Amino acid sequence: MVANNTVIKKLIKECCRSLSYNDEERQFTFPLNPCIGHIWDRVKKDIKSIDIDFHLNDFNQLLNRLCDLHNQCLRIETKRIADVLILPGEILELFLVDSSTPIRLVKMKRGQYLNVNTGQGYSFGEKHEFINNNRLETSEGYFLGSIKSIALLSPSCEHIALSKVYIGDYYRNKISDSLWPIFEMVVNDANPKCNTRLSEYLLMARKMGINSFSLLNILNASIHVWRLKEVK
Amino acid sequence: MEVKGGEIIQDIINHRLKYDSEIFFVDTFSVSTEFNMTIIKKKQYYGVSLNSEIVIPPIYDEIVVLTHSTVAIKIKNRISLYNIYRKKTITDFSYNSMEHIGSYWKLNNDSGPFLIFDTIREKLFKNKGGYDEYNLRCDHTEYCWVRRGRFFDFIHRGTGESFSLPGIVMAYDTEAGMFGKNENGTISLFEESGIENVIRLRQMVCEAGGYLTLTNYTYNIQHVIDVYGNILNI
Repeated sequence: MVANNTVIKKLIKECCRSLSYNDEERQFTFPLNPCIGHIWDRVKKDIKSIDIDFHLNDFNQLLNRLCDLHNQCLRIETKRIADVLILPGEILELFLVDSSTPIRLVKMKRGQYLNVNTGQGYSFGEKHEFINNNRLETSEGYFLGSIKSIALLSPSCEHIALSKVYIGDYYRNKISDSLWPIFEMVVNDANPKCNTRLSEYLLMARKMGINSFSLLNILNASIHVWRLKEVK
Repeated sequence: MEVKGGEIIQDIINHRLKYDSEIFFVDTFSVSTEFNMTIIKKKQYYGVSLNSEIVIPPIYDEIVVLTHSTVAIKIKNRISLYNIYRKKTITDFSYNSMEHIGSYWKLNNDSGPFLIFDTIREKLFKNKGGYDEYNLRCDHTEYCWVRRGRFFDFIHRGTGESFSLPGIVMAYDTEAGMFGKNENGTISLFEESGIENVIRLRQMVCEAGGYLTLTNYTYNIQHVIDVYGNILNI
């Protein structure tokens, strides 16, 4: 069933909290409120007045998706895409030959990407093109692998609704040329001890014109760098 | 003067032409001038003169000048459009009212499809598709959206060619291109073949700084989209 965006936004306001850092799972997310068991009974009438075909089953599925935001996206496969056609904040998923785990890259600036899985930054150069069956090599000559498949990850309707509720009108601003400032801020903060910093990340996301999907990927990439700092 | 119309209208025209020739001694006088054409009046009927020559005899109940070449002529509450250079009507007398919307005139027919006359391009849209609505508020767009029931199609303003797109439930007023929203709520840019042009959409959104605003001025709808066609200002 294609979810009505107004319904999703309404349910997110009821069920989700703002950006949080989960120390146990070492992950930034928009967690579910505790005690959501009674929410459906309370909002059911209102929701059905907007979308009569939205049922309890759909509500449960939405909650499931909200618990797994990292994987909620639409994969759009492509055989090739040039760096110049990728916007900062967009997420690429690349399957490399001889690797079963895809690498997930966030574009941070022209020619520069952040590996979400490791927190490592790569520079491929402004004229770079990702092409199937081609080598993936940084400007410094570091070989990552041969590309088996390329997919652009489009944010899901949950991400869009979360963005509207917790980041605001980020789309009124042009996307910043560089997203490194937000990554550097989070890395310097390391484990955010208070909500004020989290609110600042949301404010920065709005100013930089990026959505919750881009923000979460950048924040979660930064955690890997904290670990390195902690080990040192 | 060649006229398209039912027999009754033609009989009236013939009768009035005969009457006009019989009262040759009655002077005509000028009522107004527009586009170098002068609306003239003789007794209770109207005609048109151009460069002092009568190009439409004064036998009509009402005349409205639409462009430098086209006028609307009305007889017994029936309206037709007349081209003064082609010296003939370009529609029949099926229409009973007219509305001026922007640079268009809409001719209404109580029992059949309406007609649209584009005064800028001097083009007639005969509504062969039986559309319920035409986008008349924006005349600067490359394509004009039209609506039949819930669904939207497009017509190229220059050629008049219509393009039927699959399952489009909202269309937008853009200078170039055909942008439409599907039933899943995502927006695509369509080629005339009906195929989505994903790359061109991406290029346009990138050029706009990452987000593109699309407006439908008739329905007062504004949607901001990302490179994937997702609507963000829900």
